[in-house]
Amino acid sequence: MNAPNELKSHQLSYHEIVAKYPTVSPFVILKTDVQRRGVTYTTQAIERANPALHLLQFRSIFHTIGEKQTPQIPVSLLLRDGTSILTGMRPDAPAPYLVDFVDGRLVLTDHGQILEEVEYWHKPQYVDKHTSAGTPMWQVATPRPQRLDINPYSYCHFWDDGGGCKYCNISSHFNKERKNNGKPLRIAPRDIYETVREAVKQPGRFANIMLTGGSILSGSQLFDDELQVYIETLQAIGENFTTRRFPSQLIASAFSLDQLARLYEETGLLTYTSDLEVLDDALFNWICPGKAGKLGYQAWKRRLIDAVQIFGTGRVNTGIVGGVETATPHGFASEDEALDATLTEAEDLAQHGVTVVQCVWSPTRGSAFAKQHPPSLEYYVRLSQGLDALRRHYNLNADMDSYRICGNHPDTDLSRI
Amino acid sequence: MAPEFKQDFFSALHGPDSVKLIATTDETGTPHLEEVPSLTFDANGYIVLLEENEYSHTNRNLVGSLWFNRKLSIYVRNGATHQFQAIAKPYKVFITGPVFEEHYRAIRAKRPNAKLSAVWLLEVVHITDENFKTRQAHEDLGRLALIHLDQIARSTAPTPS
Repeated sequence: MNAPNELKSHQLSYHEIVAKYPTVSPFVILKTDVQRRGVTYTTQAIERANPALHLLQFRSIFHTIGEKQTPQIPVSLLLRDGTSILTGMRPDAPAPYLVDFVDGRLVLTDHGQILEEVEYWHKPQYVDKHTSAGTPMWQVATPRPQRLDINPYSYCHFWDDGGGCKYCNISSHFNKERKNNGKPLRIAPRDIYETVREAVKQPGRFANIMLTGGSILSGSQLFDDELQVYIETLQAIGENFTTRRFPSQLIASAFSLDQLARLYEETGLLTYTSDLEVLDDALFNWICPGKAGKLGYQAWKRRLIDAVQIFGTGRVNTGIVGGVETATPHGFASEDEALDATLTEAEDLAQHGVTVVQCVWSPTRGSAFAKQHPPSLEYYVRLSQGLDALRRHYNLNADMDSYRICGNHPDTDLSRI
Repeated sequence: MAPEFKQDFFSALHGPDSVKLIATTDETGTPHLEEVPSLTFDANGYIVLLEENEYSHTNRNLVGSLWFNRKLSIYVRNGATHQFQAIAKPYKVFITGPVFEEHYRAIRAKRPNAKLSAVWLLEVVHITDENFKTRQAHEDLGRLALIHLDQIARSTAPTPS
């Protein structure tokens, strides 16, 4: 560690990686590279986006599309195999893929070469409606192809004293959106209840509800107030269903065993995620100083393992920002070293019933790492293969964060076969 | 060019009492056979397969076929004489969006407890007429017939002329 990052040169292209890894889905490799490099659209492609059919307006905790300061563009893409590509806004991406409209088809292209057909995400019916309080429902819940995302609390209090995770833009994004678009800090549980009620009227549209937001450190115990926000929100959502538990995922801070028990007993939550972000104690201290200072890597990990007692095997996982372990100047100096360390730690978690899923790190404006570069495509392919192999070896599955339920993890895409 | 027998194949697929089988393979080449009564076709000439189980053998094999260009086989028998086999490949799967939702509503209108995981579009590559006599005639064309001699042996000695 602590060496200049030499990882970024001499990288194999998409086609070279597909040829080198013939047992890895070329669709998933393409998705990974699009997320890594970003995407932009030709005028002809933008013209194919139909506001009546396609999702062109989107409010998440990390980025926004189609509000006052951002143009209405397709929120994201789907490939022919049902793989989602969550592209987000990367206006400063150095070498983005290009979506074009050619011979009657929307296609992903790179340097003029057509690589695959794509589809824009479709707009669900609820997004044009308002809650009884007058809140536009698209601002309450954000749709993915089969999932409803809700961010009850949009600011992360690790940022209060400069402890925000270095790859993350959550609080800078919130401050900007509060100013530009009046984004509220918290969404009222009643608005959430009504939005979910409306959304689930559309047959076949949603298969899961995901909640996440910023960490709230206050309360009698660390994270008690955050826990309360989620309990109130999940209880409100649960009023919409006939079953006690409903398909759902919470991505939150690492709660204590007592807090987890409350979460499970007092709500209909089905699965629980708390993100370790980077699977290395020392890098966690550097990259996630707030989490490290308030709880620490080992305690965060311990709480994840404890959560398996409450939610059960296959119902607890942790997310990592894949590739951030190579950030300069303190990250791993070689991709082999980074991969070995990450998969070794992922195996330890798998042995305790906790699965690891990766998101592709795309350095984001508003984060401390905004000017860094992600590792090679090959690194991501090997990382996805490794995480998928661990799940198979330890008889775990990726169902709670699958290609359908989530769509943001290349490693869980590989678990489809 | 449309494959030969395409109309006949689709007519057989449309038969209410037709037997419809799909054979797929996994990454090791191991075949898996499944009866799929709901197999049909759309206006663009794709075979439509409604997959009700996300984790089924067939669904996983179809994903693998799309990813790695593996072909699959569909057999349809409508009555005693109309039998066809289509070699096909997955073109696309809908797990969301208007096409998926249309099928979702339709299947649940027929069977309220039905689930739907995916709507597969399968592109026909080649069709063969599997009617035994037709197939045999085609297979034997230009070949030396295999005839065991007992089949052409006289049962009685020829009468001396």
